[in-house]
Parts: sequence; C-alpha cells; structure tokens
Amino acid sequence: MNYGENIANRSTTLGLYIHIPFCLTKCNYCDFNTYASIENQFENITRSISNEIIFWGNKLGSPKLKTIFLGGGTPSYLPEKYKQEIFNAIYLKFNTSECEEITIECNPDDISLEKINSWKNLGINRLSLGVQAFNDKILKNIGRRHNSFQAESSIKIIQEKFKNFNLDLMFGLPNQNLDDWKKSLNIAINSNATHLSLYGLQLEKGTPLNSDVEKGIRKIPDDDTTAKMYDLACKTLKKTRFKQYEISNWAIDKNMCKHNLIYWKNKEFIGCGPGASSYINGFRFKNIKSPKIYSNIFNENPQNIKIQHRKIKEGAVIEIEKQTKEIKALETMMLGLRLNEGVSDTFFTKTVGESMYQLYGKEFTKLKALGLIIEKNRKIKLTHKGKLLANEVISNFIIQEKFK
Amino acid sequence: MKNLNIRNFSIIAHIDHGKSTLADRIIDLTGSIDKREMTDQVLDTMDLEQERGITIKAQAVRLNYISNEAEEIQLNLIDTPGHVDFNYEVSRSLAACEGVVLLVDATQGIQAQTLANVYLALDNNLEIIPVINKVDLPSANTESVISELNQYFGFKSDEIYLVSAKTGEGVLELIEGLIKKIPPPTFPNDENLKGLIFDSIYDPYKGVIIYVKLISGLVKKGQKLKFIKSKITADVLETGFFSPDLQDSDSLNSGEVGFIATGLKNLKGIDVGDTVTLEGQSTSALPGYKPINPVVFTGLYPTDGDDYPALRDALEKLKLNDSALIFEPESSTALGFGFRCGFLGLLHMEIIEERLEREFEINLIATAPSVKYKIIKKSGEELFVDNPSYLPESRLIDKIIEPWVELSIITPDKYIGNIMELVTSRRGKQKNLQYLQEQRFNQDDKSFTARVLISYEIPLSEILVDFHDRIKSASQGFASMDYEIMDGRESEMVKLDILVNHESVDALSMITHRNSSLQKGNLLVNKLKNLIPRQMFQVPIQAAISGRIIARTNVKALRKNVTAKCYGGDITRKRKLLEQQKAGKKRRMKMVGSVEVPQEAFMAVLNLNEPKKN
Repeated sequence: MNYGENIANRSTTLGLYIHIPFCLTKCNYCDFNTYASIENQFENITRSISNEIIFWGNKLGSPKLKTIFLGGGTPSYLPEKYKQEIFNAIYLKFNTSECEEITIECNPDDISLEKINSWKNLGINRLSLGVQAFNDKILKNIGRRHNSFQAESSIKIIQEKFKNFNLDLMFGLPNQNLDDWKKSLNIAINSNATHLSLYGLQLEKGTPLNSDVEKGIRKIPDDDTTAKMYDLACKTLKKTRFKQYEISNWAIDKNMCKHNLIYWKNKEFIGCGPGASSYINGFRFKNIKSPKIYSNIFNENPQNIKIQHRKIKEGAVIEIEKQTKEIKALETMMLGLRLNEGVSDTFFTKTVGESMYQLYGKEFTKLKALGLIIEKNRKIKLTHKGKLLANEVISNFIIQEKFK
Repeated sequence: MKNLNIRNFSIIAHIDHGKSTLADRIIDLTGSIDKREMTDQVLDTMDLEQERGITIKAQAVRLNYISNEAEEIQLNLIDTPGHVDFNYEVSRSLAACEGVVLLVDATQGIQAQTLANVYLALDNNLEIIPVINKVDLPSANTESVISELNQYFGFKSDEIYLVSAKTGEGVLELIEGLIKKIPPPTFPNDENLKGLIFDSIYDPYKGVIIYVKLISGLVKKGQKLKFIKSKITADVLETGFFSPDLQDSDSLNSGEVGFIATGLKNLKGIDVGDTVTLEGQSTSALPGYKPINPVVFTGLYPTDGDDYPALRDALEKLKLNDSALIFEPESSTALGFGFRCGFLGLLHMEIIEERLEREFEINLIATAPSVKYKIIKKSGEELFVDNPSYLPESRLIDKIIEPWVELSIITPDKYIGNIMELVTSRRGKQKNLQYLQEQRFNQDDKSFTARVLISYEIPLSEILVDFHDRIKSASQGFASMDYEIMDGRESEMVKLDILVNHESVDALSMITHRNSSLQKGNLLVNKLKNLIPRQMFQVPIQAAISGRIIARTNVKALRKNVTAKCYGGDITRKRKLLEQQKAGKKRRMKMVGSVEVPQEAFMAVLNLNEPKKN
C-alpha cells in the first residue's frame, strides 16, 4: 500500500495541522498526546516537525493550503523562536497564497501583548483560547493553571489585535452546577469572541480525574444535569448573534472554524508532529505518538528520510488505513451529522459511491421514529435531542458484518 | 468366605470437618504414596474440589499396611463427597464398603449433614467408627462433642477416637482400630465373577474404565466381560487398583476394589449399579442403586449463540461420569437456544455451571431455578412442568402440586428466633425441636446455650435461591442445614411474567406462591430498572399475573451520549471506538424486542429476597 504515489500536483487545497506536544502542566481530564516537563526536547522536536513539514511539502509538490492549525498541547507555550522555525518551513514548502485561516491554540496565562504581536507577524489570524470556565474553584478542580481574572484580562489583550477568536468552554465539570455554567456562558457571550466551542467533559480512561471520579473523591454532574447544561447553552445562544453550526460549535456571521470544517466535511489534510493524523488520497494515517521516537525519525535531513521501523511505513507513520466503502459511509455520517447542515444524499453519493438511502434506509426510518434525526430536501440532520445522542445515532451506521 | 486381609471403608463427614485431611494423613502414615507426590488433599483431584475444599466425585485408593499384629492388610479407602446433593455418590461408595469412619469436628460438633451421612451408613448396615477431629485446636470443644455423639447416636466415650488429622495425632490408633472393628468383606462361595460397578470414567486410550467392587470370583486381562443388565460385552484390557492413580495388577480378586479397562468407546449402557460377570458364567444381578431423580431445573444458555454446539458437547462430557445430570434442548425468545438441565440440588447445579465455565470455557446465562410441579388440569389431564413457560393458562388448571422437603437445621439455640423467622417467611412449618446437649455456660456471651436440631417442612422452591446464605447470616455462620425430599402438596402457585417494553420475556418469568407474588414482582421490576441501561426511549418494565399488571416502573430515556470533539482530525480513533462499543454491546446484550438487555438482568431473579438484615 503506498499512499504517496501520484499525490503531487493536486488541484484541491489542503488543511495543515501541526501538533505541539508540550504543556507546562497537564490538566487532570486530558488524555491528549501532550507532555509536561519535556522542555529539553523543544529544539529537537521543533526541528523534526519542521523536517516533516518539508518532507510533505516536497512529496506533495508544494500544495496549496486552505488552513493551518497549531494545536496541542499548548502551542502558545512553545517559545516564539521555535514557532518561527515551524512557520519558516511551512512558508518555504507550501503554497499559502490562498490560505484563509491560520489558528493557534493558547492558554490564558501565556497571553501577552508581545506574543500576540509576534503571532500576528507569523501570519496567524485566528486565536482559540482555552478558558474552560470563568470560575476559579472549578478551574482549580480540573487542574487548570489560570484563573478567571487571567482569562478575562487575556481576552482584553487579544481583542485589541485579533478580530476573530474563539473561546473554549466546558460543561459537566466537577462541582459545576447549572448556575455556574450560566455565568461562564454569559461572560463568554459578552466578550468580543466571534466563535464559541462548548464541550461536555468526557471522562477518559487513565486520567487522574477519571480515577478520582471512580474512587468517589470527585463528583461530576449526572447525565441529566449535563444534558440540561447543553440545552441551556443552545437556548441562551439562540437569543444572541452566535449561530450553532456544529454539535459543539457556534460562530458569529461567517466565522466558522474553516480548519475544523475540513475534518467534518471529509476533506484532505496533513498532520505533522507526534501522533498527528492525516487524510489524503483515500488513506487515513497516523504518526507515532512518542515525541522522542518521532523526533529521532525526523531528525535527519528531509531528503534522506527513509526509515524502516517495525510498523513504520514511511516517515513516522504507524497506522495506515485505506478507506473501504463501508468505512467511508460510516465516517461521512459520523462527521457530517455533527454539522447543523447535516449530510446531503448528493454529497454522500459523491463520497461513497452509493446513495445513503440505499445503505441506511432502514436505519433512517427507525431514527426518525425516535425523533433523533429529521430529513429535509434529501438531507439528514440531527434533531436537538439527536445531538446529545449523536454516538447512539452514529452506531446505527456501523455495517458490522462487513468489518471483520 | 472371607478375605481376612482386606478392609473397605469410607470417611463420612460434614463439609470442612477434615475428611480430605484425614484421608491424606492415613495415606501418609501407611506410606502408600511417595512423599514427593504428596500434595494436600490427594484425593480431591478436580481444581474445583481443591479450591472449594469439598469432594465432588468419589475416589478410591488402595493402601498396604502392616498392622501391629504384623499382618499385611489391604486398606481400600473410598473417599466420598460430604454434601447432601452428592448423596448418590456417597451411597455408591458405601455399597462398596463394610465400614465407615464418622468424622466430627471438635470445634463444631454434629452438623446437619453428619446426620444424613450416619443414616445412610445405617441403611447400608455398616460398622460406624466415631472420630472427633481437630482435638488439638484451642477452640476444640471435645467434651461437649463426645456428649453429643453419646446423647444423639449412643456412642460410648471409649468407642470414640480423638485425632488431629493435621498433626497425625491419634491417626495410627484409628487405623489399628478400624482394622479390628470393620469386618473383612464376605463373599459367597462362588467361582463366578460378580462385581458391582460403583463409578465409571472415560479414558481416550483405554476406553470406558469401570470402578468395581468384586463380590466373588476373579477377573484378569484377556477375559471377556458381560454387563448383566445392559447385556453389553467387552474385553478386559487391564485390571488394577487405585494408588490413587490407576495402577495395573495381574488380576482382581473377591472382596477387592479396583478398576477394569474395557476399551468400550461409548458410555451408553454402562450404568453405575449394574453387575458385571464373565461371558459364559452365570450370576444374579446385585440390587444396584436407587434411581436418582433431579429436583432442581434451570435453563442454561450460552452467552454467545455460537457456543451452542460447544455447550452440548460439554454437557455430554460431564454426563459421562455424572449420571445424575440430565439435559434436553430448549429455546427461549430472549436467550436463543440452550438446554433445560436437571440437578440433584443447588450445589450440584452450581458445580456443573462452574465446571462448564471453567473447564469448557463457555460463558453461560442461567435462568431462575425451578422445581418440578405436578399440574392437574380441569380436564383431568396430568402433566409435570419444570419450566415456567410451559405452565398452562391458569383457567385450565385445577391443582398445582409442588415438592416439599424435610429440612433439618442444627444451630446454637440463641439463633432459633432468627431462623424461625426466615423459615416461616418461606412458608416453612416447624415439626420438631430437639436439644443435642445440655445447656452450658458460655464464657463468650455469658449465657447458657446449647445446640438444637430443628426439623421443618418447607416447599423445595422456597429454599432454591439464596436460602443457605440466609441461614448462615441468621446464625453468624453457626447453623448447618440439610434437606430431604418428602412429598408433593397442593399450593396456590401463579406464573409471574415480566414485560419489558410491553413484551413478555420468557427467560424472566417464574412460578411463585400467590402470597409473595406482589412482593417478588416489585423487587424484580426495580432490580431490572437498575440493571437495564437507559435506551434511546423510555422503557416500561412491568410484572404481570395472568395478564394483570401488578408492578411497574420505567427506565428513563437516555439523554446524552456524544463525543466532545474529533481532536486534531483523529477520525479513525473515534470511528474504531464506536465500532468497539457496538461490538461489545452485541456481546453483552441480548435484544428483547428493540430493548438491549444485559446478561446480568437475567440473573436478577437469582437474588430476589427481602434485603438482607445484618
């Protein structure tokens, strides 16, 4: 299997995701591929990420980028000179003439006017700020370093320089009640943010929070309360300029996150950095997670990268999957249904090669009867009730017999 | 005629009174097994036996011993199960013996199963040698146990042996004693072979191996065997004795206990209790054993429908040396294909279920155990029902007759009240109460106490589930129980149906007494409510009798199951997670209509009594 053949000189534009695996401290609910106390690897890993960018730029023939997204980890925590190095590589090997959106994720305690200016100079035009809550007790409960004062001051600095910025908020947090959630939500609505991401807390295995909850040391709101928090957000935001366009995302006017839309619309992207995922030419693949092994692989001159590791096919890729029809069908539903606009049969047929009614007619009937989806103009969408039960809905689209 | 140098005996005891330890010590002291081969509880060969500290299958071992009189004696020790459910194994073994060692724990005294075992030995006209074990323990109450044995069975103090099987204290004296007291086997003056089959096993190389006690005659390799009742013939491939592994010998003689390998590939027709002789010889059949009738029934279903053939094979294999197990195919709308199985009692059922899961690695769902009811229809037609699904409609039924048992409980008298309360709540009636000893002052609780034997009559169905545990907790672990099937009595029984989302679930229905049906219905629906996960819609759970709803509750609709985000575009991971969850659900859940019901829900009926009082 070689996903690298004939992929140069493509006409479509790509998304580029850069994974920065550093955090000053790790939050107790987080199971992302990010690490505290590996600052001694700043240099190596930055060089490797730059090398991987160059590697892909060469391989794909300097393709056009539509979006760039620096995620992590905490990209704002990586010293500026390293970010400069990464952007140098991007600008050198990719065509960014039509790039519409360059986002950086940041933590409130990293924000300063100096940094904001430097990001502007790198070409960054969108910020995503990890606020999570405007409540000091709750922030402490989930192991965040910042407090709500810091969050509010950093927003003041950001809005001086950036018109387009997002705030991340979380609900269903330990000791959070409906009232706390309402307060945080209102502060976010009244800031000048153009975009809001509202995420329900997910307990992930292996995280300290999960074991605390299992042991009964911490309590999180029950499902019914969490569902009420979501209902409250949807209802409150309806009265504002924010418009919901995805299960967890709201934007004012046209400020939807273009990079995330690439994922949800099943379009192509390249991910660089440890553990980053890519989707190109009908293949999904994933880099090795360990920053150390990753940086060893890419520490060479990009021209010479031809490392054969037990499972490594090319570069740091450890997992590669050609999309079969069944997988494409499931993923199209799984991603597309997250969007308010839903999945149209035209789009589905184009992607999968068969009408969604043919594949899922029976399932649609059942889910419609349960009030979880609606159908309009040959488009399937989740209802409000369906949004909170998205996983249950999507499970119906798994064609089990064929996955063996 | 007598074979003066042979003694055939068993050890009988209540569970945990040290039977297997005493067997070990006797084997040890007669030097019959190399020290290196000695593991604890030599005769308990099944893992399950060693773990639970009980004996399930009878085992035999030949020991050669030079007595104080310098005689060479062949001792055949036949180990027997201690539990009432395995009485058929005990009675088989006893039929091969001339005497028994009655073992009683010095710290516990006579227990319910001690009585049952003594009655069995008396039925078989065996010499009984009373032994008190664990006399070395600080908590030993030897004097009091002597007085119990004296008062209850009439043994004189000087007849009773005091031993510690653990240290070996007194065991040699016991061996000498049993050689003197247990009579050697007698046999008719007859050259014809006559042997009682008391067990059989299957060996892939030697075929069916029968365990026999020779009443008369002699058998050796090369001869031709004849089974009198089944009329099957077979070659004698090998003869030998137990040491305790099978050990070849040239021949087996009158009075001896041993095995014969037959090479037969099929166990059909090899009945325990049958008599073997040689072709061309004529002898009469021995009385054999009482036929064994299962009294407890349950449906066993493989968790994974694909395991159905494996379950059938496993049951057939277990049946080979457990003739008490019966099974026949049945099917359930909720659980698919499985088997209706019949057992001798609750422990027997538990052991079989555990062996199926452990030795054959089949995950099982067991439905609520049931007894066998005799139904007399208004039309006069009679039928037996051991599966609630087959109970005719109530309007067609004239009478339902259910089995009753005589229940014996031995307990310190201060727990009488607790036990009485439990037994009467299960429709039991007290018949008799007898003190086993004089009341004496107990230092621990500064009061006068004594142990009593209480007899009750109680429906078998009432003690099927969670009864033994309740007795134990009502008496802080001191009471012991035993039961014997007595007769059938007319009862007001009803079928309790469970409806999940308005559909009746056959695997959850049960036959219960009308008076407790409301309480059971309420307990069951509330239990199911907590076991059935929330679905995408509200699921009503109802209990009904003859179509009339007597209890109901709802499982609220699921409100939330959504992934926050697809981080960094790792779509594969999320997709795989959903696929795994769905596959996992498919494995754990059974579909009842459109409702996913977890396997635990089908087990809910197994623990359905009033909440435990502590």
